[in-house]
Amino acid sequence: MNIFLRDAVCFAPELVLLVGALGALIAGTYISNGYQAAQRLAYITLAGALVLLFAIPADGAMSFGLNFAHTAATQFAKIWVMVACIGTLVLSFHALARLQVQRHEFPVLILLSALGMCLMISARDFMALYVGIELQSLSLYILAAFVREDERSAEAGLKYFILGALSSGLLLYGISLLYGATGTIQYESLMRFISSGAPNMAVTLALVFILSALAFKVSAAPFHMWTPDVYQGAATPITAFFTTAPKVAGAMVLLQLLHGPLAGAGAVWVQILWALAALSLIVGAFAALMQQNIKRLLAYSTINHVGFLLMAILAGGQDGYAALLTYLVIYVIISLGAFGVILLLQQQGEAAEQLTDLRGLSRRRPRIALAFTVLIFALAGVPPTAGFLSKMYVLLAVMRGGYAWLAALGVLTSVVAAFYYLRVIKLMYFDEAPTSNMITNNKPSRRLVALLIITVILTLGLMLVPSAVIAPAILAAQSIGY
Amino acid sequence: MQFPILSVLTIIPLLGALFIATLRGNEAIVAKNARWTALWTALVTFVLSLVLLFNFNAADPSFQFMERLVWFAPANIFYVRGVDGISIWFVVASALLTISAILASWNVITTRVPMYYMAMMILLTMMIGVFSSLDLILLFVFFEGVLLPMFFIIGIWGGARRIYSSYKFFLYTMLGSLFMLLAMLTIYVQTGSTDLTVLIGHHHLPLNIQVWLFGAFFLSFAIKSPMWPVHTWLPDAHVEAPTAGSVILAGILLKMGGYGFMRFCIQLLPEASQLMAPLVMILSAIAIIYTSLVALAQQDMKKMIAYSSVAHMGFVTLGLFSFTHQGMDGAMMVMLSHTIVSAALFLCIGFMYDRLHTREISAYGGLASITPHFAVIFMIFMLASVGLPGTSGFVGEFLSMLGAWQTHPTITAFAAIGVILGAAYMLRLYRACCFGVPATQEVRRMKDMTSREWLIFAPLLLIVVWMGVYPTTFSNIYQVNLTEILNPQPPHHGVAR
Repeated sequence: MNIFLRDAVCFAPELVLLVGALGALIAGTYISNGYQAAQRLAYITLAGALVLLFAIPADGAMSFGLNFAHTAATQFAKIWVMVACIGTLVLSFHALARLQVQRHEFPVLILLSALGMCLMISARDFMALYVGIELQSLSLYILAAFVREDERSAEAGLKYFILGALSSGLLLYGISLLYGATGTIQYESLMRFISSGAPNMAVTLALVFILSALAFKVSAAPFHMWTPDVYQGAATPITAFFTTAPKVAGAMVLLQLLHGPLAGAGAVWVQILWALAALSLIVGAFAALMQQNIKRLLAYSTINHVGFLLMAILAGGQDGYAALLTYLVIYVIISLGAFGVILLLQQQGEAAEQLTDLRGLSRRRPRIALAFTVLIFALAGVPPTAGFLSKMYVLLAVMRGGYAWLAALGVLTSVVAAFYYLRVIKLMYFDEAPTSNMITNNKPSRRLVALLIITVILTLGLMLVPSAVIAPAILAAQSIGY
Repeated sequence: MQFPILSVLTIIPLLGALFIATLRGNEAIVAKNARWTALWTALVTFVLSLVLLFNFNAADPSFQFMERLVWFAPANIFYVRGVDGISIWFVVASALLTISAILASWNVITTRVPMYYMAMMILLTMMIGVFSSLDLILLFVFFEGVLLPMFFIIGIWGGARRIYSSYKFFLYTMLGSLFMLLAMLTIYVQTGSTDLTVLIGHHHLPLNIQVWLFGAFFLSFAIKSPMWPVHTWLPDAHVEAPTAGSVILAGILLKMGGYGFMRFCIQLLPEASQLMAPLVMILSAIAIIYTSLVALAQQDMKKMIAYSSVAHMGFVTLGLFSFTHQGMDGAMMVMLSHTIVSAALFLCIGFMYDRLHTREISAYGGLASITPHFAVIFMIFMLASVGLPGTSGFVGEFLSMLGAWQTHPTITAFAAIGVILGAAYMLRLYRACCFGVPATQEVRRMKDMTSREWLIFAPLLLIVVWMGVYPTTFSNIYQVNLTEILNPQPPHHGVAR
């Protein structure tokens, strides 16, 4: 009985999410204005989960046998998954109305995928991990195709589903190989087995499959092919969701796997991760140069950022862990802000689809243009924005880890990436607006404006008070690694 | 705790920018208020920088007006500010040239006026920050932060190819500075500190690491100063930038390169700098001759002055890396003189451009009789650029070659050719503009100096002559620092970890 009670306490945030999701589903089905009710319930659920995450001590307790861990790092990551979910809900309100898809399934799916991500982050057993990943992925597939009448959205969902299913298959196959080689899928016993001897062929193969599958989930090159299409096809708030929450969960899974049970096979995965990071940096920088669509551009920008995330994981050590957590936090903030700008523009009647739609924006809407400028420079990692802080921290960890060439590559690709970020600025500030531009002036949505103000203030303010994000990240990082 | 004058100096322009941002109402009135706000803010900053200067103790080689706050405790990174004899002049010059730049843009900038002056104010904040920050990370933030306002100034208010030039400026400099960031992080990994007051003189990094670090720093500052062969962004940036942008670019931004060489290469990595000195001096000599020849062939006045800037910065590196007292003294003097003279020359070109809207040398002629006052002023600055004794240009070039001669006579002999070439292209420019017959009727109708323009040129003129006649006023302040660099004293307050 006591054990059940303890498990329940550890699991309270997840339980809240589950109950909230089911409640929203029921409420949405039976109440006339289902979407409103479901959405409100989702806000309450996420806020409740956030409060619980802060309240429950993260003492490294294990629940349900040794299958789920509750450490400072998992709490930290989950908090930011919740923040990303709340941000997505804020972003989606007007966009869904505009697309006439204000269906109550949307908040439900967000909650379910949040639950999946929490399971992924806490999982200490490959079965639990797989369940978490599938719950998350299935919700994301549906979300990608959420605007059913739109061909692009349907295509995005289908493409994501087929490729995602393939990667899930790879993951399962890798897990089964690992089980065949070691006789266990439980992290702690795996760790003992893998560190006790040199990695054998089966473990190496398993590692390759598992890493490929996870690389797909975080859209690291060369497993990134789906990203631009899905980003472009999905509705913009859903793209914002793809950019933020799953990256947090995926990076945390990679980090805890590689520096946990698979730490003993470091000789194998270091090379793979090195290549994944380098390719992501290069693809994210160079492929974006030719993009004309804003969301495709942001997709490649994401791939470049994933390169930095992988660099932090590769660097390892307390610095690497803390750098990864810091990077994730700042990345979530900036991304939410950047998508907030696009959605605010669309809400105000701008097209904001192609890059050229931004021409002359600084004349039409100087304040939005200024906010976007700050966020774009933050994505590019130019000081004095928080984007610089996170990039610098990752580079520091990488230098300390002894990967100087990878750091140099990161720096070089940052310069290339700066080129396309500057293009956005150039379109907004240096170019004149096309004359035939009709401006419909909707009243700016208050929730979007509030979100923008918060993200911009954080983007600039975190540079003044870096401790606000780095100190908790360092604390959380201490619970990683065995 | 003493009055945090450096932080106040940095924040005042930022507050000015914020104030301009809040201006609302009629466009013409907003523009007027923005101008006056910017001017007053710059004036206050300048006066405060003079207060800084007069309270500076030139006999003390250590950093003064120190401020130290915990910026980020777990990583041992502090907010450290302070100036020494090497950097203090640049703080003052930043404020002074910003005033000139604002006055020079008074009637010229007519579009998006508030934004322009906001960019100017932010630029001033960043410039003062660069020269008075003593923490590597903090300094990098300012160093890179300079790019943003300058990018907008070139890109929005620039000439026909402004977009190409602004991109080139931004990306070129960013490439260099990111390698500098890697070098800074390496220093941090090696020593556990990013505080220059702790690092300089107390940490001796192994030579093989020093050489790598030197390479990274050198790349960054060689692009910034700029040195041959990574100077190609400068002519483009100058030609397209508005006059005020060129003034700041040539006057202050290039000096960040020279200041960086001094602070990071020579002070922080002395052994590697000694080792690489011949290479740097050869590059400097090539730069001096090559860019002087290129300047000789230019038809565009701004481009010509831009190339001459590269040549002058060649004298800076030549003197610095001679590792002699005279050489370094000369390098400092060249930098200070070039700050004023190049800014003044760009202002002179701005004077002509505002009236005729062309920068072609051949489009002018006969200005000596049409605008005699201007012709005299132009002549003084032109001669200062050539290095005529009695003007500021002479002292620096002479000393820097004197120093370089003692260690590398052959290289110096080649560099000396540049002095002759320098006279050749400047005299050619002056002859074509001021003597002969006017090229067109428009030239005949050119008006002479307005009172606003007198106001811009007068202080610069005073400084140029003062610096030429009695350079000690200026060089006094950094003498003890040069002595300390060349004969490092054992650390007087315990060795840091």
